[in-house]
Amino acid sequence: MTSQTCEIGVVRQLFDRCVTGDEQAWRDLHRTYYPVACRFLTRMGVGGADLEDACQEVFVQVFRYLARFQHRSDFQTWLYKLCLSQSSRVRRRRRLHQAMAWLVGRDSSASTSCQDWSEAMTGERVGQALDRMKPLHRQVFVLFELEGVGGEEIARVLDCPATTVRRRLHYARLEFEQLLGAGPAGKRRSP
Amino acid sequence: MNKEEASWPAPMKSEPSVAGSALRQYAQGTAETPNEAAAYGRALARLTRQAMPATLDRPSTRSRWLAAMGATALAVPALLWLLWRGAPQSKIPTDPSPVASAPASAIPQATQLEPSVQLGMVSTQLPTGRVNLGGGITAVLSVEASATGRFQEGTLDITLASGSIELHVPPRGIGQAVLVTAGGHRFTVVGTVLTVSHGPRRLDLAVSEGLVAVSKEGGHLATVAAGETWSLVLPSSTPRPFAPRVSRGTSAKDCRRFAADKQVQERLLCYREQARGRGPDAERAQYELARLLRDGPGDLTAALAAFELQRSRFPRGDLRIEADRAIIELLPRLGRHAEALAETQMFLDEHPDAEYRAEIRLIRGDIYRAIYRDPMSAEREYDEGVEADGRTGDDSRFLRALCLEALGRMDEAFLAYKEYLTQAGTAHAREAKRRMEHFAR
Repeated sequence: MTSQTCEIGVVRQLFDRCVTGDEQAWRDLHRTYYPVACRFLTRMGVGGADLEDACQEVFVQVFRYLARFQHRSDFQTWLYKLCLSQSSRVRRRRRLHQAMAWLVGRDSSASTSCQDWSEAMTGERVGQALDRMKPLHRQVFVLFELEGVGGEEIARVLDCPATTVRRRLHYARLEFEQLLGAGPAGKRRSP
Repeated sequence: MNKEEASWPAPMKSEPSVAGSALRQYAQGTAETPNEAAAYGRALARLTRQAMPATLDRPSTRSRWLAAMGATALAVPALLWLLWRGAPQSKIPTDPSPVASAPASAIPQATQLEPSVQLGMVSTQLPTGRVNLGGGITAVLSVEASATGRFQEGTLDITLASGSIELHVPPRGIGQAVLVTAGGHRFTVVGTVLTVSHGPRRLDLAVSEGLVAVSKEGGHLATVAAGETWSLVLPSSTPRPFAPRVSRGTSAKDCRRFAADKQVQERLLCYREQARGRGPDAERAQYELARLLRDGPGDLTAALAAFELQRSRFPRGDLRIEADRAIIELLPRLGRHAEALAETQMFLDEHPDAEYRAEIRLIRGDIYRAIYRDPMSAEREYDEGVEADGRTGDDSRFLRALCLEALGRMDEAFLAYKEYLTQAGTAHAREAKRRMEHFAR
């Protein structure tokens, strides 16, 4: 018996208790995975009031469909899938709002430009760069670079071959560096 | 690590490039999450609000979209026709349409295709054949079946005396279980399709979808997944009390024997077996299992899950505070710093007099200082632990001085270092002296 088997067994026990309606188990599940979902959604560009709604929607789906979860994949993989679906929904809705704002003559897409490369503005610049990345590149980039998910697992989350993940990651990195204005990694070193 | 995993590039975050540095800062900045407890409360309220019938019978999003598109497709030509014809004419009847004025009973309902039973708090005999129990739950009782059902506090409780019952249960919210009791055993269902058969000498369960938990007298017996079956031969005379698996020859003494022999896998199995029971012994076994996972194979994730399981199974157990403490120590080691901060805050709120408070403050200070680069918050945390004895107090005093220096409060930092050095046998004396000399220069 490997330690991984132990872990799977423990997590499965928790799910089984959730399925039987054990509210304490639901509480533990939420406590454990809510930060993961929130953090990932934030990095996928879901912010403000949308973040809370999207997180809630993800967990409502978890609560409803956990009984059908067959343990064929890791729970976190499924959670990432739900989050990606929610982030796409939020993005579509945001596009619709922007289109409506444009139609009524109020352009809400005007963003403040940030030329200052100070530490305080770094987060904002990275966020802007991520927002301008292609959605498919962003998914792979955020999962690999920020969430620390392995390439093989990303392939399972996105339902695509690992080679596709590798290719997208390569182009995502180039795109990110270009958008950040930092040049290729390894050429420009920080002081 | 296999070859395939090894061939993936190192994360950009770990590189000393501008992009790497920016990503590190961004990752730290986005690690914090909103109030989890409040979010849980809201999610729970939403699930409760959308209780069974309204939610479960609601059409899917796709159906709603199709309905909306259909309505739009009909409305547009009608609007064009009205515009073409000009203003509405008086010929258009103003009376309600015949369909709208028809009595409600004339409108066909899907539920009328099969008999419905309105279950209340009093047990009601269920008819044989297919029956709609409300909330999307359908039961099919065999001809010889005898069963009663009742609804109580959102839970549907069915007692099967004999025969077989097939249940189709849509996914349920929290606290909305479906229970089937047969032959002294209880089957807990949340969103599944299952059949329970209660013969004179035999109890059978077959699950087609989802999961079903089998229990007896509050003790968990088995979890049966889709495609699996579970059977039990019932005793013919007086039922023999159920013997939990924990009593199958393993005891705390046996596990300690394995511990003495350093047989880690056997010890894990032994503790796991014991932890399936109930009471303080099971709690201790679960705790030992978690400790063993942490200290033996060093699988911190599994250890954390085991400690969390212990805490949730035995929320008022003797080892609850030990589990809390272990979780707090493990979270930063797993890089889950935001959760560690939330967990420590909960611990401090729940245990205002715990003896570990200074240690917890030190952990919080370290996270703020080393991970979030926030010397102000770190200094506040360390300040709470400066009165502690031993290494915890020693570290807290020195690191507080370090934070004051980082904040530019040089006078206070100088005094803090000086005070630190007045105590004998301090662990960071050399570093404190070096920093004081730096001040003097």
